Amino acid sequence: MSTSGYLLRPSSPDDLPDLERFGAASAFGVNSLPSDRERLRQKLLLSQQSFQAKDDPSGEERYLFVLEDRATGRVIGTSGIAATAGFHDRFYSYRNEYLVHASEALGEVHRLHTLHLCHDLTAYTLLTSFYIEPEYEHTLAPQLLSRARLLFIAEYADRFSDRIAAESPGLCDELGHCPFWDAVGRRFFNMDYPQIEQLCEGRSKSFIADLMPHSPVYVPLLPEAAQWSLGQLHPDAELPFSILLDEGFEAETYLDIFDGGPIVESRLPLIKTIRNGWHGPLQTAADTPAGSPYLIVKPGLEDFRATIAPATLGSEGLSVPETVASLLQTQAGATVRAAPLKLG
Amino acid sequence: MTSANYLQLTSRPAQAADLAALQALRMDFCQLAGEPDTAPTHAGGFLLTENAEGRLLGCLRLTVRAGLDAPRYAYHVGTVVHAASELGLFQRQHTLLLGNDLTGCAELGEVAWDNKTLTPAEQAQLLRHMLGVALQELALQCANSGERLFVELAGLRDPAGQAVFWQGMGKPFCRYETRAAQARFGADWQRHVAALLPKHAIYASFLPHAVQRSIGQAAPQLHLWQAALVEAGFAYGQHVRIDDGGPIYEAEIDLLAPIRAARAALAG
Repeated sequence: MSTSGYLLRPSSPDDLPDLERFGAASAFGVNSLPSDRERLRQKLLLSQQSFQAKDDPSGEERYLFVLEDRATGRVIGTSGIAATAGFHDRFYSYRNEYLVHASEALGEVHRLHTLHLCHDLTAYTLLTSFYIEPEYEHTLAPQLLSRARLLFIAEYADRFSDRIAAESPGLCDELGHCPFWDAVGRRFFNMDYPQIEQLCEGRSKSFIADLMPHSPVYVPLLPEAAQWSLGQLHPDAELPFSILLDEGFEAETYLDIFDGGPIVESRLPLIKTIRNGWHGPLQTAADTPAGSPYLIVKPGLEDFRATIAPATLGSEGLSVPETVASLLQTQAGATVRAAPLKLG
Repeated sequence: MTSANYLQLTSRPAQAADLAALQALRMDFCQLAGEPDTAPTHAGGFLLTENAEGRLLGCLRLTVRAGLDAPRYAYHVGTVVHAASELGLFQRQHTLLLGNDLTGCAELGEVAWDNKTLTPAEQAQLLRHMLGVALQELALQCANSGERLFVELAGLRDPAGQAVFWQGMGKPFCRYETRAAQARFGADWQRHVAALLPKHAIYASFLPHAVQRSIGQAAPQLHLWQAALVEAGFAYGQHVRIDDGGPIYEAEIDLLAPIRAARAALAG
């Protein structure tokens, strides 16, 4: 196996044109990238400030990474981390709960599916903004894009919660018709799903959630299409979702309050990349024999770098080809974090 | 006990020997009104009204404290407002919350009258008379009564005889037909069915439009009775029946004019 030639790095304001391209190419509702240039610019500035915040991070930080294909010199994807979900506010989700109603006299027992509006995920760290260009979906690039964030969190654990969550978009067609929104949210807002998404851009969802029903939603009362859509994934989101499931994230409990898409969550120490993670010195050699693929990151805030490359883990450290050290802008003897990339 | 002007009406408490006539009147009435055709199993608490020839024209049952042996269930119809000035939103939403608010109150129930041979004017006269008699009787027993008096009215049914409300609000939670439950369990049917119904508030807007429209609507066959109740001082108290969404009319006993008049007469 050769080096991937993919490099993950912190975004900079210069990446604005690429992010605009990603936002325009994303299906409706699939990506949390803002749709207009000014908000994207603000997002990039906030990310830059977050990486620059050396001491005493507030929890408001939002880190945005971009992925480069060094063979072409192009930026081909992005992913992000929000340090604290619902920072200075509440983070709303629906929690699946089941109530058993029984009548011995009538001989009936019903397990009722209900949705409870909750703040359980407030203060979790959120994985956000995943986008990869379609032609790279079947390469190692999306693996690096999604999983390297986890090693960043592990490296700077004091900046994040040890509970991690990620929202995944739910079912919604090209025109913005969303069965869950039509059955639940629309009854309280009388607005189309795209309108409400636009309203939410750049602000907390909590002001919207305050207007949603606070008593549980009894799923049997919803139309069949809405019931069926609960926890269903937008087809365009299958790849990042599957990566997180492979990492051990759990998707059974929480749903997005607008489109009913699944929200995955896990404790940091239980995530596969973290469990299998290692940190120690890097060894380099021009003729390093081919090893198995590793996620390798060079710790640092503004100079954080990550790639996937063949490596061999020995008693003296992680051996990689010199080209990998060069790609990561580091050198032999420097401490790196790494985790074997075991897919599936 | 009392007589009236047009029809010569007389009322009296039912005796055990009246049970067969009572059952026949209730069955006839329920069939026409589309109500569950459950006949009374005993005559206790019934007040009968007859014409000058002694023909039974109407009946209703007075229960001074309802539900003390089997809790009474009803949905409270509430209102919540979802408002956000920055969005220009102001949404009024109705909710249904299952409860036992009426347990322990006095009840006038199981009403039936001759709505086949009497003219509407005669029926209205009969119903006013029956209600007046019942309230006088309640005044006599008032020391033992609850503070409120309620009357359940059957709700809307579709041409097939199915309760519109139950189709949307009951069937998703309970497969058992409420008529069958009433026939099998008597007054206890509510407890068994309520065990399967939602305990949290339901936003009415989650229900189909026809079901929403049926909330608090009385069957057309009961409109004369409804008018008599309103005339006597009853009002829709934001409670509906759990099986068909029919309205429950309520009154403060102490505020009802016939009760006050009866008490004044007794005080003498």
